[in-house]
Amino acid sequence: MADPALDQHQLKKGSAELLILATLEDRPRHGYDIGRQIALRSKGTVRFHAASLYPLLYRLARKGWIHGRWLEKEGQRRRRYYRLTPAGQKALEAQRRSWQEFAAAIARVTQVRHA
Amino acid sequence: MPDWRAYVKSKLPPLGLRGGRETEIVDELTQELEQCYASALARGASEEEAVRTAMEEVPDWTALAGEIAAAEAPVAAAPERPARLLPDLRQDLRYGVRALCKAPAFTLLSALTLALGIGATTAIFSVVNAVLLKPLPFSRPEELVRVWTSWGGYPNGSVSDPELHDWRDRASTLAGVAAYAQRGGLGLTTGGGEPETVNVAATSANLFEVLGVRAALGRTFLPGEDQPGKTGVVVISQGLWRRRFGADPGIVGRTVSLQGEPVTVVGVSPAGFAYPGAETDLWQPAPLDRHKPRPRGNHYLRVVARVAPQRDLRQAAAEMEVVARQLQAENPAEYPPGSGFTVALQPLREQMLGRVEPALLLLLGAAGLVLSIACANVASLMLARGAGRGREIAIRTALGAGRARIARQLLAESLLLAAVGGIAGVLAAELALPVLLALAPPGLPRLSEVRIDGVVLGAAALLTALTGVTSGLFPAWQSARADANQLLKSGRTGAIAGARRPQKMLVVAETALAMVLLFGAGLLLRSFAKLLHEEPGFEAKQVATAVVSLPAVRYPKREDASRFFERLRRSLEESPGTVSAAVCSNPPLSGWINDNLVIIEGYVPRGPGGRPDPEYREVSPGYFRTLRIPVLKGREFAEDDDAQHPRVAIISRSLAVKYWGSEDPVGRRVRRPEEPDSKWIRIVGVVGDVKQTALSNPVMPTLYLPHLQSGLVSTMTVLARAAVDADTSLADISRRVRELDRGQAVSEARLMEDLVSESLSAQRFNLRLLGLFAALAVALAGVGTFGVMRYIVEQRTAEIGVRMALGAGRGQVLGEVLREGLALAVAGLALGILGSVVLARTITALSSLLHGVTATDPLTLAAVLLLLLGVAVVACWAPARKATSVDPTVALRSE
Repeated sequence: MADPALDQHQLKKGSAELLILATLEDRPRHGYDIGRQIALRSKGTVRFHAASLYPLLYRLARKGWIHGRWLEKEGQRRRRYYRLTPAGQKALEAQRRSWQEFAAAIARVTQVRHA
Repeated sequence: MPDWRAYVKSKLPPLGLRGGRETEIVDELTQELEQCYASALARGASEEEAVRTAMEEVPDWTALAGEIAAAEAPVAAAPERPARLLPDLRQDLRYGVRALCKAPAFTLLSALTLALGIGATTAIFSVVNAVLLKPLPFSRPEELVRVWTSWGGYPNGSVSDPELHDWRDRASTLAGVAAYAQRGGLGLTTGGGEPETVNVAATSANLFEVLGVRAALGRTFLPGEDQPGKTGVVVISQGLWRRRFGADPGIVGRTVSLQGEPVTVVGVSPAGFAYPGAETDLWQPAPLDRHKPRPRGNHYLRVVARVAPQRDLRQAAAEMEVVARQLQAENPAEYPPGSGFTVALQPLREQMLGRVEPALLLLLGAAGLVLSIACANVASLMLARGAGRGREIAIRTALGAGRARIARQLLAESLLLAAVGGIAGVLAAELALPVLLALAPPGLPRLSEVRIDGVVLGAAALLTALTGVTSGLFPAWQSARADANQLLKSGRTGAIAGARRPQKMLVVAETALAMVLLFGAGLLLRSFAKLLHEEPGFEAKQVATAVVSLPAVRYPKREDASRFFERLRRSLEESPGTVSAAVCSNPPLSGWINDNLVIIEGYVPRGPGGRPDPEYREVSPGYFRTLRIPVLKGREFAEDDDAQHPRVAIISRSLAVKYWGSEDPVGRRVRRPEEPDSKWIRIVGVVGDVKQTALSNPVMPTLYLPHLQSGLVSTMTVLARAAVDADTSLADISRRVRELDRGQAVSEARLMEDLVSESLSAQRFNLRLLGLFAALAVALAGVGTFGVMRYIVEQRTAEIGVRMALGAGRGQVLGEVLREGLALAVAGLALGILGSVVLARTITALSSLLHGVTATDPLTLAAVLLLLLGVAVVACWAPARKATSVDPTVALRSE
């Protein structure tokens, strides 16, 4: 790999589930909203195409971590809203913890310089 | 705003998910794209940019489908649940419909191919069903037999009154013995007006009883109504009743006039009943006087009998053999030792249908071959398509679908295709049937009953299901075998490796089948060409013919009839439009034969069957001139060869050769033992041989007698050779008959040329149909070869590209592809030759349809091979050219 930066794709793959679960922590969201939230909060660094987002959503739903429901709001069209299930909440916390531990470990390894 | 929903639906490969899940996913993806598009517009993007932005959300739909499929898959793959067969089937079918709609070209081509095959088979089957399969319109028809007198080489001899009476008295194995004679066309008049010519069968009173048929209206004949003085009753056919009497329910008891004789209608036959022939309009008791029977040598009756209950044909035949020996012992004069006389029994079904059965079954087999080729074609199309659908199938496998499930899905598709083809095929058959029937030879019995009924529809449905399974099984098996893992990883086309070989096998099979059919058609064509070159022995052009039956009421003495015909002949000769005219008892190709024993002066018969029994014919002066039959020796009959002059005869060349060899028969004498006084008759001439029954049959030795000297026949055929227009002569005959006798009807008025053409109608029918089937087969096989070769070239594009990049020339590539295609053709042809030879050996019926060629005619074989090789070259040419136009760089990139 000629690019000296870390492979975005690989990073995304490892963290995708966590990112999606995290956007659903405060409130249920529909697919487009989830994608937008991720882009917004990462200031555009992480972006999901529909082609990768939706299979992920379905996988999470299949695992029972999120649950999709069709909702109709006043004056709006029917949309599918995903909310975190209790199992999803636990998974989010566990993933967040291990990610943070991992990130801290990486930081410790890479930021300490032996002067 | 673009219709994103339609976009998603068109892009997303079918996922095969249960319930509404698939719709949900489509909805969700649609909303996503709509939102992307809308927000892009909101950001100030142009319409075009917004669309592109939305589309970029999903760059690869197949990959997406794969991801979704994997995501939706059960966490642990659940085993197949066979209990859900029905819902699964419904889903399979729904999925199939969508899959087929997405490939309209494939669907249309396949359905059309199957429609051709199913249509052809259904149409022929409807004829086979009506003619061969439906029971004969008699009660317990399997018990009915025809009884013939058999004379050495002639197994189907007519029967005389005394013989009929003897059989009735002596045969205990026969429950009923009935007789009839066709009286030909007679004039029917109802309350004045023009006479209508009706076909009359003169029958014994028990004919209907023996056949087990009741009248639809009124009654049939009573016992004793065939005795003298009681025969003035008739039963009319359902057809005549409707046509002539407007289905008048009060017809029973009405008096009509038949040949000027008043007769009472006592009944109407049931619909569908036609015996002895479809053309029979009316039945009248034949006078069969028990006490004063006609001479034993006067064979004119046809006999049908019912085998007694608990007896079978073999027992009846054995008993009749004994009866024959008794009769022979009692009447040595009528059945001399050399005559080879016996009594022969033949199942009625065999006698009625035996002649047409082989040809019809052969045609059905040919239609079946066309259908097989169609199946092979569709199977190979499906294989090619299946190869392109590898990824889709892999996705479904990843979804947890088992192999059996996938195979079933593909089978559902082929069944759907077959169903579409089947419906189209039945419709096509319905449309083709009238044409088929119009082409059918007139001799085909029960033609009017041919229709697409429940039985035919059932058979078509069965055929369709069978077609669906046959054409789908192979591809389904192939696809299910494929390794899903490997496919998902492989390139975008997702070709199933190794799919080429089964396709090649199909091309070989198609070519072989087409070869068999074409060879069969070729043989019939050669036979037909030979038939057309057969010399009938006379010149049919410009000759008009008509049949005149003189009623015994008005022409009681035989001299009266002779005088009438002689006056008619002279009147026609004087007509300015006529070159010459004649009358005769039975003209060539009329199908009527009438053999008679003859004693030749100085000739001693050797062995059984050695007694001369030539065809016997009464003709007028001018007969040979009118038909342009060459007089080889001696002279023609003259006007003064009448009752006042010594008796004379003319013989045909084959008769002369058979009994006189190289000697000159003119001046020699013959005698007819049948005649009461049996005087010597002097031979005055030898004429050329004439085909009497059919062009395909050998000539029969014939004895001609002047009708003015024998005058035994009151029904004669009038012949007139026209100077310019035969149609005018046709009208002239009717006019002059009526001039001589106002109440006299004319029947079977037609041109001799039509008679010749009609005598070939069965062969023409077989040839046309088989030719059509062969053409279809060749076309289908050609298309099949083309499709497979194109597919192979496509699959090999990269390989060819590499080789061309490495310096292979275009000519080399062209030759290679052509060679590959031709190798398939040659393999198919070799198999086809083998098949043809085996079929020719096993289907002995084939040789009964051939004339002048053997079933393994090498010339036909060579022509067929050349033609099919040509078709193969044409079919391979375009794919081969395409291969040479491969651009190495493009080809390599595509990999």
